[in-house]
Amino acid sequence: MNAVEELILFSAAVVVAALAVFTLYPLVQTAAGRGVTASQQIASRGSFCIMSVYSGSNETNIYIYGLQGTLRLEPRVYVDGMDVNVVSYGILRDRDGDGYLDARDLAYVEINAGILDGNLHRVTVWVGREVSELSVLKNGDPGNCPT
Amino acid sequence: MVRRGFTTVVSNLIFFIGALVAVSVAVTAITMMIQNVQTAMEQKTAITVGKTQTMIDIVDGGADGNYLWVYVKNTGRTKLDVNDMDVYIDGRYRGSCNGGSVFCNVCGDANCSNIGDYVLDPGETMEVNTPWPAASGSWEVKVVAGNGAATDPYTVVLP
Repeated sequence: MNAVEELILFSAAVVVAALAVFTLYPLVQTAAGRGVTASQQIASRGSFCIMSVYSGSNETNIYIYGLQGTLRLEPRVYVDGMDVNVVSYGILRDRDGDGYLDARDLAYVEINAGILDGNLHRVTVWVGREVSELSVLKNGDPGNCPT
Repeated sequence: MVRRGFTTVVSNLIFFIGALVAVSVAVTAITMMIQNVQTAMEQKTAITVGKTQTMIDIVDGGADGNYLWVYVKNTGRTKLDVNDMDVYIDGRYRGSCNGGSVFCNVCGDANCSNIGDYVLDPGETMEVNTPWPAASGSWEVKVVAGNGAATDPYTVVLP
C-alpha cells in the first residue's frame, strides 16, 4: 500500500469516525440525561424531617417535610422501636404535583390514635432508606426540621 | 505470497476510529453527569441560602370563640409567597394559607384594616385567620413558610 492509498484510507477513517461520533452524541447525551436521577441523587440524596406530630382521640398524624431530593412516599413508622400500623398517608402539599415527596413538599402519615399519653415517646419514620426520628411528649412539641 | 488479514495500516485505522468514538462517548457522558451534579448542588445551595435569609415571627394573636387569628411579620430579607405558607395549631396541620379553612392577608396598613397583596415583603405583617369555635382554651400556633422557615410556637389564650 503506497502513501496515497494510506492517505485516502486515513481520510475515509476520519470521516467514518466523525459520522459515528455525531450519530452517537445525542444518544449518549440522552442516556446520560436519564442518569440525572442517579447523579442527582448522589448530589442531593432524598431526606425529610418531622415537622410535627399530632395525636388526637381519633387519629395520630405525623407531618413530614421534604428537605431535599425526591422520595417515594411509602412510610413505615415505629413508636419506641415498635412497628406500628400505618393507617393512611398522603401528600398535603405537592408543589410540582408529581406524587413524590420532593424538597419543600409536606405529607402526613396517619397511625393509630392515642399515641401521646403524657409520656415521652420516640417516633421514628422511615421513607425508603431515609429515616427521621423525634422524641415527642405532647401535641405542639417542636419537630426536628431545621429552622 | 498470500496476504491474509488486515494490513497494519488498516488495523491501526480501526483502532483509531474505535478510540475516537470511545473517548467522545466517555467525554459526553461524564460532562453530562458533572452538569447534573452541579445543577443539583446549585439547587441545594439556593434552598439553603433562601432559608437562612427567611425569618418570620408571630407578633400578636387572639381568639374570640368563633375565630382564631395571629399576625405574622416577615423579619427576614426575602419576599414570601403568602399562599405558600402552612398553619399548624397544637401540632395539627390546619391548612395552607387561602387553601380552605385558613385565610391569610397581608396588611395594607399599620392597623391591618386594608388588605394588601399576596406577597409578604420584608417588614410586612399579615393576618392569619381561621374559624375556631371554642369557648375557652389555649392553643399553640405555628406558621411555616414554603421554604421550611417557621415561627416559634405562639400561644393563643381564650379565657
